[in-house]
This record gives sequence, C-alpha cells and structure tokens, in this order.
Amino acid sequence: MGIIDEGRRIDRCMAELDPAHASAVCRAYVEGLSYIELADDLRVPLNTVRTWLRRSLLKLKECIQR
Amino acid sequence: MTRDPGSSEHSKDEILAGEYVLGVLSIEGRRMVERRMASDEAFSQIVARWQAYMESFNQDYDEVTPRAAVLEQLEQRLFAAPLTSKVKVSLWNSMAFWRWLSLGTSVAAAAALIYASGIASPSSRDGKLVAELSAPSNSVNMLASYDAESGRMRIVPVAAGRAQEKSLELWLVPGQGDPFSLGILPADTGGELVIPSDLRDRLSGGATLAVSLEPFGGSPTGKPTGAIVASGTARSL
Repeated sequence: MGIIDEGRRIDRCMAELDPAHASAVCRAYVEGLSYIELADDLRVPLNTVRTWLRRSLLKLKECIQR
Repeated sequence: MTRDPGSSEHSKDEILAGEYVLGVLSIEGRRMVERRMASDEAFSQIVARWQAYMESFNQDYDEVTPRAAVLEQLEQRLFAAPLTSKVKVSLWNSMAFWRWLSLGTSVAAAAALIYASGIASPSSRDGKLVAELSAPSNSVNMLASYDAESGRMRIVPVAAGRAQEKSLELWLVPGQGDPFSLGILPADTGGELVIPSDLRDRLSGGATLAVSLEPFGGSPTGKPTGAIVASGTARSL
C-alpha cells in the first residue's frame, strides 16, 4: 500500500537535506560505512556524524510523510 | 543535546530503525534491534518502511547475479556448516532438562518489566506480551513471552542486566579436555538452539551440559570464561 512509492519519494526528500548530510546518509547505506568510518572519512567528530545522520533521518521521515 | 530532535519515544524508534537500515549500528545495536523486531510488530513495521524508503538508493546500481559458488563460500565463512541441515533439538522443551537445570531463580519474587513501547502500542493489541522476570543478585533472568491468541507462554533464561551486556552460553563438557560451545542461549527463538552438526553425536545420555555467563555474544576465547550458572548430566527419557 504505497510502501514501494515511498522509496521514490525519498529522492525528493534527500534533495531537501544539507548536501553533506545527504551524502553521509547515502554513503552509509550504499557503501556500508559505519559511524566511525564516516567520521574518519569526513574528518569530523563521531558525535557530529551521528547527529547529522539522526537529524537527517527525522527530516527525511517528516518530508516523506508530508 | 537538549535540542536533540529525537526526544520523543516515537522519534527514537524512527531513528533507531533508520540507523539499522543504514547499517551504522554496532553489532550489539543490530542484535538489540533484531530482538525488538521479533517481539514488537509496530517497531518491525517502522524498520520495513525505512527499508522501502532506502531501496531507491539501490536503483543507481545494476543488478548482477553472482556465481553460484559465492553463496556456498559465504555460508561456509559465516556458518561453517550448510544452512539446510537445521535440525530442531527439543532439549530445551524437555522437562527433564529443566529439572536438572536448577537455575535457582525465584520467579515468585519476580518483577515484571513490559518491554517495547508500552501498553498503548499496537503490539499489545495483537495480544503479544513480553516480560523479563528477575530477582536481585541473580545472574539469570527469565524472559517470558505470551501470545494471547494461542494462549501460549514461553519462558527462556537470559543473562541478567541490560540486553547487550552478557550472554548465556551452553557448553558440552567432555570427561576430559576442554568444553565445546553448543551456542548462545537465544532470547528470541523460544529458547531453541541448533546444535552444530559435528557435535550432535556427542549429545546423548550421560553427557554433561553447563551454562556459563559470558560477555555479550559469547566467550571471546572459545572456552568458558565466566561463572558457571548451572550444570548437569543429561539422561534419556
């Protein structure tokens, strides 16, 4: 019931995120990077990456449900 | 983190499910989520939704069918035995086993803790309940899960403390030499363990079994490292 369509909606919602945050979300999923690997790669503290991703998840959720 | 947007319970669940699907959680975190999914229908639907959302990321890549040998090699690396040889061992369902496995846990003094997101969650409307029965200064708790529809309650032993802290590991203790691990007592499969095929011959009347308290995920050395919480000899019924 619409659950497949929601996959496409995420593209539009990803575009609403800060590009750096969207990239982190996408790389975590596609490249299988962990929080620690993302933090190393992006040269930002672990907690920062975690906060980016968690905020991004909530924003995505809100956007998708709009 | 006072402005953390994930302050409400529901937001926390959304984030946790999203993190699980992204694959950024630690192994302990993943196991915790999987246990929760097994007992909390509403939560597992949140996970399913995130999986559906993120599947579109895969569309940027072409599908390639791997060689058949790849699956076999993967299974060898992951499980060391073919998955098709799953044989259910009814040991955990045997009354005799429970009689000698005297855990010394006073269930009468138990405090029940309803898991998951509380009484109002859709999971309780499905008539499924989970309670952890414990008593002070015990290394073993009982995890009770109840399905109102069928009237079935299952009670399995779990390590006391938070879910990611300790595991209970079952050992086969030979007359001489080191014990063999038979596996971690799972909290989410009704207490059922699949015994490694190479150890099944050794499991017969007279075999000594023991349960030890180990770091989460099992003994790091392959030998018991923690306290033995129970042991006994199996006899044929």
